[in-house]
Amino acid sequence: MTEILLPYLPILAYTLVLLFITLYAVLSSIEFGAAIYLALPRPLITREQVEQYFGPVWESTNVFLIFSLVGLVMFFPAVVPYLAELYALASIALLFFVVRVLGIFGIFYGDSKHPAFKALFAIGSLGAPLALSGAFYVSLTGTAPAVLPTTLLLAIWGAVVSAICILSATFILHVARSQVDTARFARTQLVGSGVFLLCAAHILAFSPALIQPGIVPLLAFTVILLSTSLAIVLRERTHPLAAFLAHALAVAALIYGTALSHLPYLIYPVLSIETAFTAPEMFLAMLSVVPFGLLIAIPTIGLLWHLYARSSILRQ
Amino acid sequence: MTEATLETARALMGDTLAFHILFALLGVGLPFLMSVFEGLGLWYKDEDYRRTARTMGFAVTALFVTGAVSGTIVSFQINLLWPYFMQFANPIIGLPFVLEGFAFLVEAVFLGIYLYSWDKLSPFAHWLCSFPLWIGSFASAFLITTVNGWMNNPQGFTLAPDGTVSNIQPWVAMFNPTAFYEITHSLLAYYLTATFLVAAVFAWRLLRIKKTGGNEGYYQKMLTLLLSLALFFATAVGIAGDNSGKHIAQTQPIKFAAAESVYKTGGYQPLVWAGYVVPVRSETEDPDIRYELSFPNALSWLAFDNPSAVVQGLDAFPRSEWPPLYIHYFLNIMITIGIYLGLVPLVFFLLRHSPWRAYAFNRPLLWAIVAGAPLAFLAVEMGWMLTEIGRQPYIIKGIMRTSEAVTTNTDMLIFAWIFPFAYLVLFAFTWWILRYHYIVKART
Repeated sequence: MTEILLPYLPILAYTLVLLFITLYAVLSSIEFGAAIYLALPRPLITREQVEQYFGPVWESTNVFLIFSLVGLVMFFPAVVPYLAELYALASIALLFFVVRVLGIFGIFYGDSKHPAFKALFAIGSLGAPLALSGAFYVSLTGTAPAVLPTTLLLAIWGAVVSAICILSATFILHVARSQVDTARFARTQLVGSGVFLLCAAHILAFSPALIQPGIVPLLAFTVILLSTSLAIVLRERTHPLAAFLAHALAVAALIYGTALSHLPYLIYPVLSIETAFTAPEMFLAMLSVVPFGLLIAIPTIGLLWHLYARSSILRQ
Repeated sequence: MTEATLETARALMGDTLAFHILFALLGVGLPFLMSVFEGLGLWYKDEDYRRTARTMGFAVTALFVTGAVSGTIVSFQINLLWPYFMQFANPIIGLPFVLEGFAFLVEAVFLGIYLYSWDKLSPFAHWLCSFPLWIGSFASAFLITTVNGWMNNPQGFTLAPDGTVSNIQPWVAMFNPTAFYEITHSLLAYYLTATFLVAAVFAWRLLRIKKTGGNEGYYQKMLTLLLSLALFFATAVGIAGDNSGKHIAQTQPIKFAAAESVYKTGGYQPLVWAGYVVPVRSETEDPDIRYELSFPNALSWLAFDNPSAVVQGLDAFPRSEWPPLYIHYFLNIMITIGIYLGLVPLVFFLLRHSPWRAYAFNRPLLWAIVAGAPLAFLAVEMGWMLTEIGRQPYIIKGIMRTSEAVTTNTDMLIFAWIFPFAYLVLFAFTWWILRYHYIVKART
């Protein structure tokens, strides 16, 4: 049985890593966006609303970042020395997380109204994902981001910022529709969706010399286009949760589409998923615990969501 | 790889772990204490206990946030600074890292549930929600410590002379025997430290009340419970530490010899306490310790239950394998503080059950409890420094040297001072919000 599965294990592992990255991108975007909306000159959301809908346990979404990192380095240990070359980039991202926490402490735990804390919260929330997305650039091109960003890097940054804006906007509309300026959020979603589509098209069109992308980028862009359009329609028909899920699907399609169209490379052109793959015994052991972990994780998240949704409705 | 790169990587990793452990141990200990307080509140139908559990919620949340960020930094640093270690170790001991992710997820989710549902669930159901919280944090620490146990005593694979690894048994690697001793010793120490921290807060409040006046009964009741827990944990840590020491004597004799300052192999080894370890400046110079206290035959007896047992000294090993000899201080400081942390609650209960019970909450003893909190943290730090520095020059005992594991990227030299500075700022902010919440806000 194991022998039959063996050739498929690297791609299965890669799919799982991409799932963790997608989950992190979607869930953390909600919080990152709230920080940006709070720091605007005319804030789209109040401090109390952010605390009510995004507290009380900040930084929990980091668990999915850790899952992504652990999945990547555990399933593909040969990638670690290449990751080590990104020390500066990763350190900048980590320092942005520290900056973000300082903002959280000041605003929500220290009850400070000083604008510096809002700025810290927003800078950290924007800086961390932008720095982290540099790793995505490296995996596609095999080169570290230069001082003057290329159009591909700008497109990745654009996709990150627009995804944060649209995911967070639709989530906020879902939980606090009656308390926020829905028209401004609608405009944010429209503009963000446009930017996201443009950036996604550019990223998916990127194809280095050794790669024959095939039909995957086209399929991915079709899914992105359809789900983004659907998200706009759903939001207009006041189904913001469905709109949020449609946007999440678009983000997933971008991540999976880009990564799968660049197969077999994990880091172009030096490392493929086959050569970087871990010992099959270890992967199978890890895989065997994933259902067990999900068996615990899914009901607990469900319970939290149930309590959270109930309390949100009660508060509204 | 230059010496500067290796030392910077060591310093960065050391700073990160030393900072993270402060919050990680509270993340393990405080949820357990909350659960105990809430459970007692239900059992005795006593709102004081439940109030205490609820009050601790804010601290747990704030410390969780700091711990989550420092934990994220740890997970990145270990990969970025020691890529060749991770590349080698992941296929063998990667399993606990994956499981730890789930444990952290359960902990994070249930912390949210616990804090959200004080007024939304029945008291019993709410108390039950505290279980996954402290079990999740316990499991996180348990799993990560199994990795450290494996680094100290690697197993679960076959290493060929050419360096290739085969016959990988992930579960055998994870459940290595050293992990059991490390887990019992370290986790009990975390519970002891968290208990002393909360006891120190109550002792501090009592000291203030004695000055300004107020209701002493509530604080005395909580302090009594905390000190009984502290006495239990201190005793358990002592027993676990003794077992761990015996295990290290058998499986990591070089670390044992350096920590106990055993320089010559032989039977009837004395236990060497305190003293000044003379730095060894050349390859030919013999190690020496001065001004020490010596207890005849005690080390042979403690390590092997036999006063004539032979204990291997550093002379039995090549000099290139020796860890730094100053780890003797770490062991001594850790044990001295451990004894202190056991004596303080013992004195309290002796006074309380004696004709001088009126003096059980006397000021010097309350100050001794307050002092116990930072000392307990120091003991944990010393314990981990003993474990890690005592394994040098290896990152995986007998398999991979630390110098072989380090990155070749010199970018970290730029960040060598930035991260410690960031930790200081983060620590200051955490202190500020705790102080603001529990003192300034409570007063107003």
